Amino acid sequence: MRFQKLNFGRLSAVSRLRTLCCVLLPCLLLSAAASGQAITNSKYRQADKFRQLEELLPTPNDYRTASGAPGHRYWQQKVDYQIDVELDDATQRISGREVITYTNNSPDTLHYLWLQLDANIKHPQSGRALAAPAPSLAGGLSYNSLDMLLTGDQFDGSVKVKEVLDVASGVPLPHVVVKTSLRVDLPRALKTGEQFRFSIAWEYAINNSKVSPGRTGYEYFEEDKNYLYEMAQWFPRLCAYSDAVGWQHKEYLGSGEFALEFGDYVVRITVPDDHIVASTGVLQNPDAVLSEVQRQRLEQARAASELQFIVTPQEALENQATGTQGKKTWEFSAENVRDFAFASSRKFIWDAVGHDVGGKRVMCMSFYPNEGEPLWSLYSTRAIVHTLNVYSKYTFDYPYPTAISVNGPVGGMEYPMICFNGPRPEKDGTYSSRTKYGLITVIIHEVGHNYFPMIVNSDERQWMWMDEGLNTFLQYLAEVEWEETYPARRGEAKDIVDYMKSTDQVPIMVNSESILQMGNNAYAKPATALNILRETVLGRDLFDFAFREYSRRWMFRRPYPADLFRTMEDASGTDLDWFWHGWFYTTDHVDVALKNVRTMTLSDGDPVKEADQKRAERAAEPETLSEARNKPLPKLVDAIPKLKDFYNSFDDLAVSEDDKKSFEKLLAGLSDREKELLATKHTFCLIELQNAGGLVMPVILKLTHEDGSSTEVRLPAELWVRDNLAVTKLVISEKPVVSVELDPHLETADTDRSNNYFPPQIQKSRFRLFRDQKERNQMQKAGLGKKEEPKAEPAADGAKKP
Amino acid sequence: MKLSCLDSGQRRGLSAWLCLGLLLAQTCAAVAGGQASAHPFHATAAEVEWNSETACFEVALQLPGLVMEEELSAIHQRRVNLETTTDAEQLLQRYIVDRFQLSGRSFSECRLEWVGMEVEVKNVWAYFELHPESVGSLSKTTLPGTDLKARCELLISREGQVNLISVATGKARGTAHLTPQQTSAAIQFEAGQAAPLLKF
Repeated sequence: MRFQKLNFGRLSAVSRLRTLCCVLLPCLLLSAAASGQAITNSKYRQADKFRQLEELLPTPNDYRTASGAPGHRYWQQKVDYQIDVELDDATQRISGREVITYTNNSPDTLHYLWLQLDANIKHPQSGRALAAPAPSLAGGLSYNSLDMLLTGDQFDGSVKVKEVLDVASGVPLPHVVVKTSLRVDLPRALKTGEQFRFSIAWEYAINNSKVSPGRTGYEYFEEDKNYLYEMAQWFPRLCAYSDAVGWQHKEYLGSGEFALEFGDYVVRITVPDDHIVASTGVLQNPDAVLSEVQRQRLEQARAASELQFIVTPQEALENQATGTQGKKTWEFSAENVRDFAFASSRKFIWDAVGHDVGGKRVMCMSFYPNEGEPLWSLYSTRAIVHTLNVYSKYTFDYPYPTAISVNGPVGGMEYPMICFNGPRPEKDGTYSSRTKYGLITVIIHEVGHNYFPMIVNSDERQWMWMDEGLNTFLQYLAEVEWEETYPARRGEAKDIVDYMKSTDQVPIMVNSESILQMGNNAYAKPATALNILRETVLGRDLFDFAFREYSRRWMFRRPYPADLFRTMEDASGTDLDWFWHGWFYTTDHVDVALKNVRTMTLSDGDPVKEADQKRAERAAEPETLSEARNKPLPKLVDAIPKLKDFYNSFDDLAVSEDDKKSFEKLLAGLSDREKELLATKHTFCLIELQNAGGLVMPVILKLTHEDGSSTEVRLPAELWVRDNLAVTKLVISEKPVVSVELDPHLETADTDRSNNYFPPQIQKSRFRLFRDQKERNQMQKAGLGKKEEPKAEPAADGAKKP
Repeated sequence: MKLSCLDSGQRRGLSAWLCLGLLLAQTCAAVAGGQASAHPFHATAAEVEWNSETACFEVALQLPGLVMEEELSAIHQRRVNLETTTDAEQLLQRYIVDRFQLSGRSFSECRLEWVGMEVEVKNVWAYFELHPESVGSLSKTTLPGTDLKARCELLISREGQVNLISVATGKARGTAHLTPQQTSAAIQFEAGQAAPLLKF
């Protein structure tokens, strides 16, 4: 049995099957020797991209299993709060007193508790301020930038802890402020299952977001002299204490957000009596703080299918025009939340609609000043509803009774049941498409954070990607279900290519404060990796099942990276260690190159056919330059014919009778199956691939045939398991193959497409594509393009129009 | 407001400069334009390719559209809409000319030739050429590309800003990752790649 090598339209030499064996056997032997290698292997030229992750991941135990699920002894602390807080609109200060009930569900005995004092980041001598490198002053400073610099140097927004008391005895408790944390020493050891109640009284100055921006603060409206407050991280909150890291009390430096415990809250918020308050939780005293009309509208909205105004734009305008000296206390309660935030202003418009999620009615609501109109009433609450629908489909039913979006000075920040979002239209009410989609995008993202990390309670201070990356992935799924051409920024493999091929990177698996490029590293790369895992590696059904399993396993619990990695493998039934390793632990990128493609067809050994083929090959060979120039030269044998003998007329391709008889004898000795095999018309395509980028990935090939049709071949990442640098794949095709393309659907984030084609194709840069297009247009404008003959239409008078 | 560099003789001015420098070191985290976000970050990405035939760098620069509108509006104290403002392209061009440069061993800067811009919903793309301005006797020579240095001061008043510059010279690829704290740096070519040559 012989293979004939075809070099795309030109017949060439014949190879034998044993050639394949000669090539493959050493590879097999080499790879066999490589298996079982140690961490470093000087006897093999490459790293093991499929090395199992169990050496890197924490050892499974009774709290966290090897399958990625919570273990049978999983525990987490519970912290309940009762808080009385007052917002002073005249001085922009906040003060409060909270009673905390701490339940120790851990197997450990605790002698002290750690709390977070996040507002301490607003001290001029905070670790964040002191550690921050100098900004560039090139190009000068705007007045606002200088104002920010000076405010940052002078404004003290840190927490003043006034007292810490043991509730049972009323005795003050020893406590120490350590940067952004507060340690409270317990009067007696707190054993497993025991509770401790203590209270803290505190106050601090609220930051002006214009000159001291952050996740919380106030906005002052010069025109009507009113304030809008978005209050977050505003009260001393217990640090998380877990089986994995003990107390999570890393200093709050600004990037790593929060690690918190679930608990139940009752919060009484005292504000000017003309303020509208939006808050985590459910309003407990509507009769005391809302008018009868507002209460009726709220009830109508709960049952409505279209959003209703509780406070109309006109009412908000009227409200903001008058001041007040009175106060009101709004009381909210929230169960099983990890945090609590609120917003307050007399400028708020309020719209709402009830929406069923998994059979439960959720009040979706938005609060915004007239400066947000007409954009906010059109999109905000509808974006909340859409987010709950899509996220619940891929994870679990939204479990909370409310979901709120607030417009204010914070560009985008999330808390349980409530989030703050910034985009607004112009003063004249117009807005660009960028503002519109910017608003919808940020609302989807921040409402989506209810799922990750508000409910799947990952440790943000340690692993930013666990909430931002997973949330950005789901945000992408929600965006593509908003409208067909939604301008999603992150999720598509092709959108991560520029970052992946750049240098100066850190892996995804890096502490939140050490990230070099937050948007790319913690948001886009994990989101894209998950999308690739879904679309290309596992397929949608398998991925969705596994991702939902992870979400449900860790709903209202605290997962760590290993729990995600292990659950995805456990539920999908797929070894994904290579994927986590490559995408999450390294900075490798995808660049697979098509080095060569050789195609072969089968020869049946018929000497007549083989001779004809060889003649055709010889005829197809191009004439060399010397051959062409030598041809006209007079030849000696022509001058002296007797010099010609047998060899001058010998045909080395002539088929003898013996050759024919031998072939007939060969055929006679074959079985029917062997004759059938010999008659096959398949093309055998040897595709040589090189892994130039380092990241191993599935290989997707598009084979185009002579008749213009194409075949797609999808090869798993395990193609690279023994040799992750270069591999040759045999693809058998029923039709002759004329060209091959790698990654035809742009699904693997391949960073260099210039090596994705065989025969090679020149890839133009974005710059050249733009310039070509522009130049073409300019030529066309100059009348230099080819013109179609105008179709002459007969005029009324019978003459032809020009 | 411009901060001027001061002559060594201006002692009072110098001490004021040093004092201000100290303040900046302590408070730069607070410097951000526009609204604060959970993780304020913005990024630009420049794809730079050396064209040996025309002896210039061809640049496709991707900028976040909404942020650029905010930036240009703040600078010019009027609302700039990249799609509808008549002189938006000139404003963008002027903004980039002042803030994007490449230099090398034998050229201290490049002359920017504007090619055009494209506005998408997400991004605005700026296209331009950078022509090295030769200095001294080293003009029209072969230069090692590894000496390339990038300066980029796009959107540097924004906290978390990252300006990524990817340069391709032949088969060699290099990157500079610039921030408000580091606005210029050598292009780092991938390990193991031969020093690319820029032929003039």
